[in-house]
Amino acid sequence: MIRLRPNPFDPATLEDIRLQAQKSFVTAGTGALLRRKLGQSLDYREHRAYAFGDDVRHIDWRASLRHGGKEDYLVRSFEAEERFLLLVVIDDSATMRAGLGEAGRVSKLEIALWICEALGHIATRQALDIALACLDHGREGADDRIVFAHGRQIEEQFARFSEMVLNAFPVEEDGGAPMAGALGRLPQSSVTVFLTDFYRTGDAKVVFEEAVSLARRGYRQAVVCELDSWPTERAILAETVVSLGRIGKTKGRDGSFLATSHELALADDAIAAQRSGYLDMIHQGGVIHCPWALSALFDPAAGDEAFRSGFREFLLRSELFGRTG
Amino acid sequence: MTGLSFLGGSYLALAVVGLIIVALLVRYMRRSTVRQVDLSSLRFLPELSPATKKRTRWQFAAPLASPLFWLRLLALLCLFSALLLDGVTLAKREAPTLGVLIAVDQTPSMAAGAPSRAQQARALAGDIANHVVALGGCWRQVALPFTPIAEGARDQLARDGLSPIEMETLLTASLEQDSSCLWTHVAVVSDLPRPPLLALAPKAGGKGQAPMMPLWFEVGGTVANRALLGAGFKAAGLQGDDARLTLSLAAYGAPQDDADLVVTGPDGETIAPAEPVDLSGDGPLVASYPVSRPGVYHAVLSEAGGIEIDNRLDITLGAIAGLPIALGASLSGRPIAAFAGRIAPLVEGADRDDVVHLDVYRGGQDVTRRGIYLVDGPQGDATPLGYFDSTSPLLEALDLDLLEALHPHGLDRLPQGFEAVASGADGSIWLATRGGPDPAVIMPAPTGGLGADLSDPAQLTWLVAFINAYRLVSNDRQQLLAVTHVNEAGEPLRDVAFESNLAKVAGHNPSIVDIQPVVHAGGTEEPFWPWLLLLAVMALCVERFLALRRGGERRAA
Repeated sequence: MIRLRPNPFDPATLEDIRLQAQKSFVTAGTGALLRRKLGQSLDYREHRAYAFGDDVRHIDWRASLRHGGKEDYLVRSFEAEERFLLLVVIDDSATMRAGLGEAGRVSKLEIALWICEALGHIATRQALDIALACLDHGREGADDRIVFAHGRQIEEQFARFSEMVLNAFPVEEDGGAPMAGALGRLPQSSVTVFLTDFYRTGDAKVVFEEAVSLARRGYRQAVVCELDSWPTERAILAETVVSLGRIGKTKGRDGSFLATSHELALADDAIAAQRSGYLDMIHQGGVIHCPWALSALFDPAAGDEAFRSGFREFLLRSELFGRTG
Repeated sequence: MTGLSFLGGSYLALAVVGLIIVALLVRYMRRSTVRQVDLSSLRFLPELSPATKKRTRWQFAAPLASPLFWLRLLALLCLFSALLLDGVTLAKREAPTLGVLIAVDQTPSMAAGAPSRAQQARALAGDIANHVVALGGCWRQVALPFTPIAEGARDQLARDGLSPIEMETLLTASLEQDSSCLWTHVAVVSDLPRPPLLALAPKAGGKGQAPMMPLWFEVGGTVANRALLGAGFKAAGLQGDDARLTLSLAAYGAPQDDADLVVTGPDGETIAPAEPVDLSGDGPLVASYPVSRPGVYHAVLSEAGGIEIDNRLDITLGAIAGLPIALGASLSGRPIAAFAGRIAPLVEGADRDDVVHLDVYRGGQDVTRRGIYLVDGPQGDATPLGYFDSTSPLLEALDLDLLEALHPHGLDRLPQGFEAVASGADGSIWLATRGGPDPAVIMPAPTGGLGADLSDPAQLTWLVAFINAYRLVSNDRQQLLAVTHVNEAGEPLRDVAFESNLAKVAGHNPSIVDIQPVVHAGGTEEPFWPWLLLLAVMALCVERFLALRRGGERRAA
């Protein structure tokens, strides 16, 4: 059984990152997704002067007599009560699993799970609900692919989720089940974070596109984090004979291939075309694109530091956390 | 393939291990250039030009740089060594031990002296035992011939003597049988000198141990003694002298009183010596007695203070003279008749069975009676054997039993039942014999015919052959003489010759202090191959551990 390696972050560092992220955004910024605002609830906030249009039922007569002027009335204002949810969706396709369980390597799936764990910690500190889901696993039933957690449950639920994802058998290229049912039940104030490498093709890509589309429907926010491993892998492949192995082997493509510069240039074009297809879909609006270059996939020691810096940048770029309004 | 065989198991093991090592070297040197790498971007690689999957590169130094290779090589070598060195053992040093087996001579000669040698031996054995106990060792006292010495039976001596070979055998057996102690020394207390080259074989299973050299303690002093060593017989001579019985005696030291030697004949009659016997002297002595008929003679040497076990002899004489000779008619008056008359009395009677017939052999006749038949005239070519010459003195020692095993021939065709047994180098003398109840010999006539002068020295070879032929047909090879030492009851005794003890004791005893604990370098041995096997298993375990740890790295690299 494959187990997730320890997260490069310790809780104190995560707390620092959260605070830095909160300081970086203003309360009313459009990108600040999870914040409190004035509204109707039983949660008292303050007294303020009556303005035209205020509900006369909220006038505090006693306070007005004690503190207000002759024609000044004080009204009670309340906090708006909204239930926010952070949904993290992981692409657990075969390309994300490359290198999983091998010594001396860090797979993209592990990095995605580390991101989940870090976001879960921050959500706990912010008293937010968080849900974890994967794009491919659980294709038979759409309900069990989303794991909801709140408060102290997050650690236990994340452990269960990561074990399930790490040891799941990878879904074929054309696999993946639509997430319409799961995403359609999300509350209005939700943010969905997608962690993927943009290497899904065919039906798998359609599944992803549908999920993103559902996640941003109704003016909800979606963040797509692109885990880009091509530059690192390109350096590995240069001028060597490689076996296509499990991932690269398809019908008519078997055996060994010599990766010359010319052929790598062709691969550059193929991957660029693949990315552009995703970016066109993302740039339709309501989606924040956060590219994350994975530079230390083959060096676990350097990979920890790369992850820490990458996560800070991702947090700032995604504008996930802001100050309470 | 049924005939396939190997010189030995070790050669087969060597071949197998050699093949494995070669395979191991090739595996390390032959690295595939194709990298087994699992990258997520591989599916976006274009249709690349196919490369040869079997392309390899040879790295001759690669095995030397790999600790896994050295571990596997070590494991293989250990396995091979374990197969090859299964007979090698490790000597296990032990604490010094002392175990002394004290063997006391109980043969009859130990009764001599006052105090007797047996008493002196017991005292010496007690000293040795006390010394061993003081050093913390163990001891056991046994008797030779080998019997445990029980209380109350210590003065019981054996009836017979004991030869050195038998003594060595008994001592070795006593060491083998008694495992109550780890024997490091054997101390023999005896009145005999130490037999040369006496060494006890190591205990069975004690591979590598040197033979044990017994410590030899002599006890007793010199005792004046007379002994009957043996007897001889001289048949009646051709010159008319009588048959004689000779007795060999030995004497040492001054006798305490006059000794007396009495010889009695088959009917109990006392036989007077041919010459007076003087037993007062010192040294070897021969006494001669005239005898006239076969039978059992007794010789008794009486003395006081000596070792009387060797003072009685039973002498059996098988035959004193042969059968009379009955001459054939054609030989009467010939020189050969006179010669035959000197060997045995001549009698008449061509039909008698109790005589040796001496006649001329005629070709084709049947020979049925006991006798000597001479071939006169031309003969067939004899096969020269060359084992004796006609002038050789060895001819006098002609042994018919030996000649019977040879197969020369003198006649073209021998009568039924005869075997040609011997021939001279020149073919002039040959014998054809027939055994059975009526033995007979066919031999050539003397050189020059039946009328030749037998006093001519040239006829000596023929005369010797004739005498032998007569002995064959007359005595029928009876045992002439048998001599046995007996006790007073007439029972035969063995190995008395070793108990005469005429000129001892040398008294070169080792010191009791020389008996010290011994560290057995090879006392307990354990095989070496289990250690090699353990080392091989450990090397394989470490190799597996490292290999599993590096497995992932190898795949990624």
